[in-house]
Amino acid sequence: MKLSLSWIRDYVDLPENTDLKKLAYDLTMDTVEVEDVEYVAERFRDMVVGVIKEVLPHPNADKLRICRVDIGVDEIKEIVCGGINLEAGMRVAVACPGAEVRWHGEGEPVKIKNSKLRGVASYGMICASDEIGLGDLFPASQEAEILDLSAFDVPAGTTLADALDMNDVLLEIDNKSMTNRPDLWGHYGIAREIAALYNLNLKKIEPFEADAASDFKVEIEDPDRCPRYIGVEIEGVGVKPSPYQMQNRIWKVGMRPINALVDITNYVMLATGNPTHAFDADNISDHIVVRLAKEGEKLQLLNEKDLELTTDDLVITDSEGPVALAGVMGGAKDSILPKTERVILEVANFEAAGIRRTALRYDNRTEASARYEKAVDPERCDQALALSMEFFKELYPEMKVSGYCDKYVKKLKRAEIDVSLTWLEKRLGKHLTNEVIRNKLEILGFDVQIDGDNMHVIAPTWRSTGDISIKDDVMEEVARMYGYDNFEATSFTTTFEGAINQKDQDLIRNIKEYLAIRCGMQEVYTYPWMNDVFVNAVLQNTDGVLRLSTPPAPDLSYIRSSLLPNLCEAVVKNERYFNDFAIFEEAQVFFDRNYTSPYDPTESLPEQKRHIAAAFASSVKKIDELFRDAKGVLEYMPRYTHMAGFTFRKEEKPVWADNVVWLNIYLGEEKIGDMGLVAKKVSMECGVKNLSVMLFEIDATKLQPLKSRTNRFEHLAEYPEIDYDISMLFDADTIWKDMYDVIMGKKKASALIKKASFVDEYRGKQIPEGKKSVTIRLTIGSNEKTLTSQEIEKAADQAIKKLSKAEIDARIKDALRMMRIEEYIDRYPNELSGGQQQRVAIARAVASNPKLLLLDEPLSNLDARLRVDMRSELQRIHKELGTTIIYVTHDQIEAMTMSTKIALFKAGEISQVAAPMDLYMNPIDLQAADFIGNPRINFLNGKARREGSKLYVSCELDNYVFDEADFTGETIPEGEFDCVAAIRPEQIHIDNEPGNGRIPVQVYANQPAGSETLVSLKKGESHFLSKQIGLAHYKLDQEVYVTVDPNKVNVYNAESTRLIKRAR
Amino acid sequence: MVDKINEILSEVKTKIEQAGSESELQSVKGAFVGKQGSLSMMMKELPKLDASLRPQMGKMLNQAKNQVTELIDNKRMELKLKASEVSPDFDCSVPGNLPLGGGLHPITQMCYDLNDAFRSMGFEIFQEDDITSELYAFDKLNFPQNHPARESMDTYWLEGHDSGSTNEKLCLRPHLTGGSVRYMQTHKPPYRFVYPGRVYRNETTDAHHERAFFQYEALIVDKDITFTSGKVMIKSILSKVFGTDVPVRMRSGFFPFVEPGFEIDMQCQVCGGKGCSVCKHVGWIEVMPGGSPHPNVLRAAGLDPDEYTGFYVNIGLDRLVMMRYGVDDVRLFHSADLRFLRQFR
Repeated sequence: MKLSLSWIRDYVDLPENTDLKKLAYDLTMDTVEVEDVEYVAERFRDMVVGVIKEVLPHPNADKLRICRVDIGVDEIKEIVCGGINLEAGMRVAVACPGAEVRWHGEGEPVKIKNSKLRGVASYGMICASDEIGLGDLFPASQEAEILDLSAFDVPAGTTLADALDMNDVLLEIDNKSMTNRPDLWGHYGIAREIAALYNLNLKKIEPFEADAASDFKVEIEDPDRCPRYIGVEIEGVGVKPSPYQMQNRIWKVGMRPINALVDITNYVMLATGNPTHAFDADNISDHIVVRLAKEGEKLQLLNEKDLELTTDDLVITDSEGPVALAGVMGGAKDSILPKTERVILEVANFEAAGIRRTALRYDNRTEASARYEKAVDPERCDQALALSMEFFKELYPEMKVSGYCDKYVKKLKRAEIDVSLTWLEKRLGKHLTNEVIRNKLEILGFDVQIDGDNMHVIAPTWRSTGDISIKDDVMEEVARMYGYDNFEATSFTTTFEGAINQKDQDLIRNIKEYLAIRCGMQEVYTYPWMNDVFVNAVLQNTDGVLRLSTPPAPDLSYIRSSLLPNLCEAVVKNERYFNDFAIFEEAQVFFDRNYTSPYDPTESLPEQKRHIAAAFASSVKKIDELFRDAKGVLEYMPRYTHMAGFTFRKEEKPVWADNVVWLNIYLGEEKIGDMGLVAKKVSMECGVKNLSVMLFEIDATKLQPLKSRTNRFEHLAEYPEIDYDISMLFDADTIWKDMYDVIMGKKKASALIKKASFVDEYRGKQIPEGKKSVTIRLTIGSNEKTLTSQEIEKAADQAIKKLSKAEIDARIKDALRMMRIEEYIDRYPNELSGGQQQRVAIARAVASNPKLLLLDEPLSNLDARLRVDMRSELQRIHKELGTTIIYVTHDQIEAMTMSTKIALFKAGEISQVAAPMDLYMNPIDLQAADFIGNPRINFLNGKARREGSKLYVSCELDNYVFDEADFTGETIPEGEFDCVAAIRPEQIHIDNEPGNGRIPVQVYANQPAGSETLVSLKKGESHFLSKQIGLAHYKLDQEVYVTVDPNKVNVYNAESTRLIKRAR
Repeated sequence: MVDKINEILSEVKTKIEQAGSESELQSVKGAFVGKQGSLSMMMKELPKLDASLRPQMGKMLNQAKNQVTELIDNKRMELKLKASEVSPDFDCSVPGNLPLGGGLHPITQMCYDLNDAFRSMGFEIFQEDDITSELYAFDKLNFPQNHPARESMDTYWLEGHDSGSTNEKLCLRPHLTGGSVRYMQTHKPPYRFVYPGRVYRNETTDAHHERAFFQYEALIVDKDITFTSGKVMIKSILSKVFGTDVPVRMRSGFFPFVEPGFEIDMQCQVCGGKGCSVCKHVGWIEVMPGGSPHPNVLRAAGLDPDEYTGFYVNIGLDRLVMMRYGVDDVRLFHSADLRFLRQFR
């Protein structure tokens, strides 16, 4: 609010030589904050009134004129001007060089210089009103109209400030500093405060004595909302400009002069702080009633806003309905118009809260409502009325009061407060005499009675609307009037019951300092609301996430349930400038659940937690490095910040995380956080360009600070310890934890190994596919002596050996798992069933890493399915260990499927040694042929004879000729001899139709088995079996046609039983 | 002969004395005791001498040779110790390596500085949740029912919790003082605590206005506290922040939850109180509100205001940090911009 010093001086005799700086300071210290002290005349520096002597045409421009102007100096000045109303004899405002003006009233001020306009020198400028900030005071009626000051009868050269009465000072007061002081919202109120501060005389405003007797009346229906209403009906007025001094003041403090009737009401409000209003009386039907609006009533305001009123709106009405929104704004219907001759002046008091509600409801706050809502006291109506009537009389000497009514239905009660002087002294911390106290209060208008220790205080009316209500208010009045600066600081004492020990507070600080100082991360702050883009990308779900009703922006409505979305946003923002950085944030997160409050049973607050989260972003580090950075920060956090340690598990992948690189963080059995690599999809959605981002987030409310430190002192090593790095190849999926356990677990690789630490791992060139090279640092030493290099080597070697074996052990473990006996691994044999014993035995045998392993019917006690699984497992073990296994079995399928070579025994003697397929294709004799293969091989008796390089064989099925290339080297008897042709059933193909080379046979029996069909065939006396893949149906005795590839036929010497012709 | 030896000796001594480097020493050594050195040459001439003189001269020559060798060795050691391990053109003006280290947010740093100061005066540190009810944000703090601060244009209300009675309406806390009531409700007086935290206002932002900012509240409640004790608190805060005793003034100010209330100004640290553009030429800068908790607030916390009173200050840390470093845009604090934050390591 702006206050004019000259106006204030109307009411208080402020000495002429008052130091304004001090006045502003004193007001600021004791009452309200003076934000600025402005000398109005400064705005018109280097501006004078000039008298135009002559107006000449401009030689080079039609729209410009050359004015010869007297500005009170010896020489007549020539000024070029484009004004349209220039005339000789006119008084004008001349901005001389040095003055500041705004071109056409817009933009930044510009300093006037001597210049040439279209080739003609111009001394300064003849101004339009808005060019020198006077647009509101002297509104121009058309464009390019020069401010005509002819009405101001001053000699040429008079400064503009003098001529326009602008030698005033404005105090700008911070409105916020006086929201609680309704009495100060007018020049009179401030004058009263100044009078009290400096003990000066305050002028009284004499009350208005009404003598009108008429039937004019006002009714108030709701005394609580309208404690007082004075209506004055005045005749003989009209619309005309108000006197310049009134306009000048209204304009200086920031309002716009309108016309005399409106200006009076505004002037009175600015003077007293009590808004007033003038209705055109001719538009008011019957009399005024102040009441609450009725349902459905409407009102058009002065500013042409149409309102649908509510029953909470207080309105001024006539018999036709509402004419004004009480205390806020007049209606359009009754407003002052050029034809107005009769007015009803309203000087009223309205209840503050109601006015505020109404003004807010219609978003229609006005100078009047701003004052009423501070709680104006109803006694002030008297001053406002008196001042108003004074101006009506002055401006309209012929006016007549034709009606008057003062309804004061709810008298203001002055606040009465008892204050104990002992209490006062205690609170002030300083002894003030009763006289000082009394004086400080009385000067402010309080009535004070002191009776012993009790001081009875009655506040003045203007402080009794809530401002002064309790003894603390009285104390404040005394203290501020005495001057806060005059109270010395007093120290406070306390008793210490022990050191403050706030472990939880310290823990958070320790963690933040750990992250920032030890881990080199930067703390950031982000807002509690999250951008939808990052919510969708990172959280992917908004269940249980709270929202703001009026968010800062439509896409910022969710408030965080996780710190990660905003951290990702921070990462994106920083990617422009950095390619390797780590940031963290500690802040609160919110969940739409578990509503409760420990403070008030009726209050229900959502679940709120404190989280700590971090982002490690880099485009130069590899993902494994970044991972180890992040994990290291977490791993060492408990130790460095003195809290219970946490562990990592892999239970539940965070939605934002990569499929492989993630961990859950557990404290005991409770999950307290996650860490992981941001999945590519997520980081793309976030707008991350090249960075890889590793995140972690932990629930800090779950962290448990240690009561004291828990680590123990360790004696310093008495003998030297050395670091010994070993690098080894492992299967790519072997994990470090297992390697560590092998070296440092229950059975240590060597007692001399004190520590094993991961150095790095390498995959890629020079490393076989599926393998990785891991470097491990062993710390080797003894508590008893200095180790020799041989001992050191030995210890390292033991670790290497154990690690190599561990690789195999891992496979065995898998074998055990496969055998479903992991849980029995530590049992004794008599605690196991036969099948279990057998399985464990295999595992143990394999685990001993032998060069040669003999397994005698190892799977005989297993059920069929387990047996099949075990076969393949043993096969793998065999291949990977490189162990030679001698495997005794009667199960020819086992033999065929598992072995690299089969030794076939007959009656204790080896009859044949061959690879399984060889053995199958070419059994060495008839017994072997009979044994190998299921279904059995077909034997067809026949005759054979060798002729040169050919062997002729005839049997009941067919006749064959074989070449010696297929002979086995077995002696072939001379002449014809008995032989046996052996044909595997799958080599006999059946056709239903006859054809070339097809031999007709009869179906003897048919055994379809789903995946295959066995067909028993007969030709002559010979029976033989054919195996068809898939399902086939033949009738008994049906004639079918078979073909046999001679290459697949084995021929045996019937007498020696030995194979003489092999199959191919 | 003797003279010659002595002459050579004194010559050697001067030369060794003057030798400034290892190579010079080497050449001295060669010239006198090397194979062709003058002393060695004299040695060769011994047989030519009279037999009676030989032992004495031989002894003398040997002594001289030993003496020279010893002098050279000494000088060599001396040179070694004098010399540097690196070449003389080692550049000491190259910058050092930046030690590894991130940093705390400048506001956190300020907060911890203040925590330390208040801890040393026996204050506890208190922390509360960001979401509160209207009951604690306004009712319990003596805010009138229709106070403008309650409106949505000033406060962030939560969707689905923005209507109903004040214990049901939830918002992001607009200030910390409601939380102080919670502390008082759950602790026994006397109280002495500080309460740092973030608060939220629904505002249009610019270089001087933020929607989220950091406040630091300090409250002391006891039986015989006067508002003048507050001056001690204020001075502790400012001297901790600025390192010197900063003149402060308390002037009348109005806040619903205090009575009396103060605006607390400190002398402008830019101009030392003379007046400058920073302090709008008044020499003082408004830094915090303060005052004695309003009797209604104490009552809300379950205390008898006739028995207890106290003093409270509430400092905007953002503003204080801005003054400490000369930061000119408050929005930088929540920008998460590392170019800004790394300046405060």
